[in-house]
Amino acid sequence: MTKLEQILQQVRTELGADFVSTDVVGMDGLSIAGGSVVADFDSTAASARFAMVMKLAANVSSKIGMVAVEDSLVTTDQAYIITRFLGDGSYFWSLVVTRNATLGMVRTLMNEYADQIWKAVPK
Amino acid sequence: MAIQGHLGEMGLATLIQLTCQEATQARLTLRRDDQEAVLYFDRGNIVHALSADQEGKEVVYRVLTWKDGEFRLEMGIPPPARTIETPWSALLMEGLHRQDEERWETLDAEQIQREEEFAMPENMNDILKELSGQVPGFIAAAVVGMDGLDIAEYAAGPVDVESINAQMTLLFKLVDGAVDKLKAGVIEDYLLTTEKAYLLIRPLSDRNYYLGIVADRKSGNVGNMRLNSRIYAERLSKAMPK
Repeated sequence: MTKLEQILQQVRTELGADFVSTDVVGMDGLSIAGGSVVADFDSTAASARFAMVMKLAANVSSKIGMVAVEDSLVTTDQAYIITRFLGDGSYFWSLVVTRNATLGMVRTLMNEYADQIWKAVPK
Repeated sequence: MAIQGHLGEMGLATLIQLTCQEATQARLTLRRDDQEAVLYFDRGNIVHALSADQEGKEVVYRVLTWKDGEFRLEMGIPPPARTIETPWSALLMEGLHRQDEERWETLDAEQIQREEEFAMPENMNDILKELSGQVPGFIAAAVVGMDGLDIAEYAAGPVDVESINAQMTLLFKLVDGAVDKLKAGVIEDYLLTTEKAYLLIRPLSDRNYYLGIVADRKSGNVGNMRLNSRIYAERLSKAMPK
């Protein structure tokens, strides 16, 4: 197991039953590490689609003068989908948790682990 | 420690919200004319409320209609009883819902028709203006169609609301498409955090329009924005021209 996978495993352990899926994704839409506990959750498709979202979000933010995007949070009736840029912005980290999760705690957890994940991304 | 003031200066909904965010024990005494009500807070919720003739949630709903009167907030006072288990945000939403219903019940058919035909767009701007006072760091808010054009907007300063609406609509459509393809449910809200601002989108009930709010990153508060977007989206949905 790579260092990156170990860190994602720690995140998964911390979230317990609320964890659904996580991926570290390049801006080309390809995941370099991650996985899901839900069999029918298509994390490959999620990575590709949210890469498009993050690219557009960065564009939109720049056009309206709000500078760089830090993260994006989608709340649905089933889940929270959080994506945040890592390091120089060439990768992002996505995390999907159930609606039972405590959102504030999940955001704090992502703040705590984001740097470690970026350092563990092979360069 | 006690804080005193007038409800005309600080709305009761805001007062409740701030006290609940403190997550401490407190007693809030409200007086209007010869009426008095007392609300007790504990660990971020209203846990007890009483007036001369009632106790529990109904007292909260009644005082939420008070637009004037005096308040006194005392910290560190434990509740003498527990008659409310509903989360404070749900209490506020139900209170506002009841206010709207009561208001409609007092109108006759002709007034209702007139309100629906002529007063709605103005109402929506008023609602956005009111929202601006509830969101710390408020920059702008708008009710926007999925074509990117707004039907109501309010900004605290010189902001290019039109451009924000167009760009955010584009982004929201992409997010909505992604969530749909992934079968991840129905979007309740979408929050974009940038270095300078929080941008929040919440679809209105017909899902053809959304409420967009922009708040300053430094002085804004994500929890407050999400809560107020829920409360105000419901009001705006009702105020939509039919």
